[in-house]
Amino acid sequence: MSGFSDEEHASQMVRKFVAVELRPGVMLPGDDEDLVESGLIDSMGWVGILSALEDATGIRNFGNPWPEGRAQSIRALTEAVSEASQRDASAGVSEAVQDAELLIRQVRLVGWGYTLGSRKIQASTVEHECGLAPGTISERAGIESVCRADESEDEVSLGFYAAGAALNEARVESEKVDILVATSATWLALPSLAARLHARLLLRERCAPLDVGGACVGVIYALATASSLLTAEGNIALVVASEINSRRLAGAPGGFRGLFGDGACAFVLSRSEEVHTSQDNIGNRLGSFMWGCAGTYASALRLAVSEAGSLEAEFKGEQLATAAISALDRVIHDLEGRSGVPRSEVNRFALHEPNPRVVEILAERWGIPREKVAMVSKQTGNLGSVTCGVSLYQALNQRKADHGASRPPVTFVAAVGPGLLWGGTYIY
Amino acid sequence: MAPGYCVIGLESVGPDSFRSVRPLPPQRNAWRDPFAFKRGDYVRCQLRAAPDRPPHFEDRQSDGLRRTGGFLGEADLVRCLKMAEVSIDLDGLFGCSVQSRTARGNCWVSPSTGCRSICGCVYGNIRFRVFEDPQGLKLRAEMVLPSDESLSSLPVVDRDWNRFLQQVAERLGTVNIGSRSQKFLNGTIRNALLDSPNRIARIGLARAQGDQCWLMLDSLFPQPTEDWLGALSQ
Repeated sequence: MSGFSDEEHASQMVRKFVAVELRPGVMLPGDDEDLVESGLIDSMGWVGILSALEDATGIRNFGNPWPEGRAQSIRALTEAVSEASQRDASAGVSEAVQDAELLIRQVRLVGWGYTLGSRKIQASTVEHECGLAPGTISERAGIESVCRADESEDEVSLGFYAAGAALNEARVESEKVDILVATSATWLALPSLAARLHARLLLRERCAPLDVGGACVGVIYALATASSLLTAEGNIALVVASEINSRRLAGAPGGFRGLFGDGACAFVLSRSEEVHTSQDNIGNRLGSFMWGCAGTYASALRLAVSEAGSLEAEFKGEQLATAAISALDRVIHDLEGRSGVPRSEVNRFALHEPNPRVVEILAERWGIPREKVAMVSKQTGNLGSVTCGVSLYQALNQRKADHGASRPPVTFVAAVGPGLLWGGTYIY
Repeated sequence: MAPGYCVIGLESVGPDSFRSVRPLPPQRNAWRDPFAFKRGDYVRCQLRAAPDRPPHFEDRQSDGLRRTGGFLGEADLVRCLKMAEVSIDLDGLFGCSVQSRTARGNCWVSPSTGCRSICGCVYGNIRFRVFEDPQGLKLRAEMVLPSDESLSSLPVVDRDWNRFLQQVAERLGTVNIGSRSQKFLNGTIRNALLDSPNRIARIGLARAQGDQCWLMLDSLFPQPTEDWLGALSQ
């Protein structure tokens, strides 16, 4: 926070920024001279001074509105900086008193949104295009259609749209976001996806942008990162996952790339009690996270860009499916222990779906009704990290319907990715 | 600078291609009230070279503007603007680097390096700030270019947007007008802008002050409409 209650310090800073706005060769005026009335600076220069002071001190909305009757002078600006700093300092004391309480409060999901690539391609077309036998995608994998981005869409534009929807749902302005965590396995450019989204969303400069990996588990890693950071600093975090598999996997074998679609999802996390206290929210607290990695299955899926720039893919479908089922089973078992809720009593499951058949096998194995598992990939294809996110989106909306039962609703979230990585959490 | 209007016109330079010209009134640097034309009007005028004042290479001395009766609606006007000077990134706006001394401060270009003084961009996001000071409400915009570079604090000098802000403020009463106007602009109005196919901003350079030409938001499309004010009462 600001810490400019020392008037001498504040005065030096004010003089520096006033000098910036004066025309070249014009001397710094006296402390009491009205900068605007005297014509030394115009209203544009005045706003420039206020913005520079706001940025340097961290005092939000500094000098806006400027009190009627108060001179627009160096002295008045200095006093305003000192007054605002003192106000912040007092607020800081009460914040510190509340901190212990805040730290033990859980982080909650308060907004969610997603978007899909705008071109829907039927499985039969994908099979033909990828040189696959009829039924490979539709029957064997259970995917009826895939959603692909059109030429105008990329990870940034889809992520921007999903983030906007999540912020709207949370009724949070983008200026309030303290932390942005982005994940994507397909964005291989610099600036990073988080940096590009930070700019596109017009987030504050002091909002921290981070990128995390994990591929299909990415959204869980991003939620874990954002949640952990929020317990230390800030009130609002935004998590965005965005994947354009159709472009990144263009050179991969047809049996692999044919399974994938494009999309983005976003979640707003809050640790502030001020945000979204409506009854609709039904808690939506994030439980603890668990994760791991089994190198034994590392070769089940490998992707690398060769020196020539082409994509080299190693994909052992059967092995990957078996390993994924086993890992998801393990995550769910661990989540039962952590949440104290047996899988039979869990209201919803938000899972990564390598393909719909894997989820059907899991549901049968766990003895849970299929309607408890949001089935995303049947209509969209495997969206990478976004699959679990869209599944969570649907589960969160369903939770409203589950509310009112004897026990507050619980959702298990689990995903697996190349490595073999796994991760999970629960929402309660 | 004396108060007045800076008028920018589009001149056809080939099929599907336009360039901006800035007709100057006879014997003055800016058009004064009453100014009889509105955005999109077709006008006829004789243009000749104006004194060289880089980077305002679009300046032309005019013999006055004459009405032709023709008029371009917003969609057609935006279509033409997209066929004139347009940039996807900051350096492309004026053919040189855009500078700022502070992170959220005013931006400028050096007159000696700029190759033009007006350019369009299809913005990817926008946020308004309303500053309230004794001289009245001042509208600023923060804007993202297609390159995801941002301009953090552009003074909005678009006459119709400033008039719209005044109308919004009048309807909101007297308490916290600045912050309430800002909230309205950044909610309903921002959504309308981002959803519109007519999204384009024209960014211009003010006349040089020393070695600086300040950036301003000259025109913002879509233009505000009376209908948008209706959202205030909902």
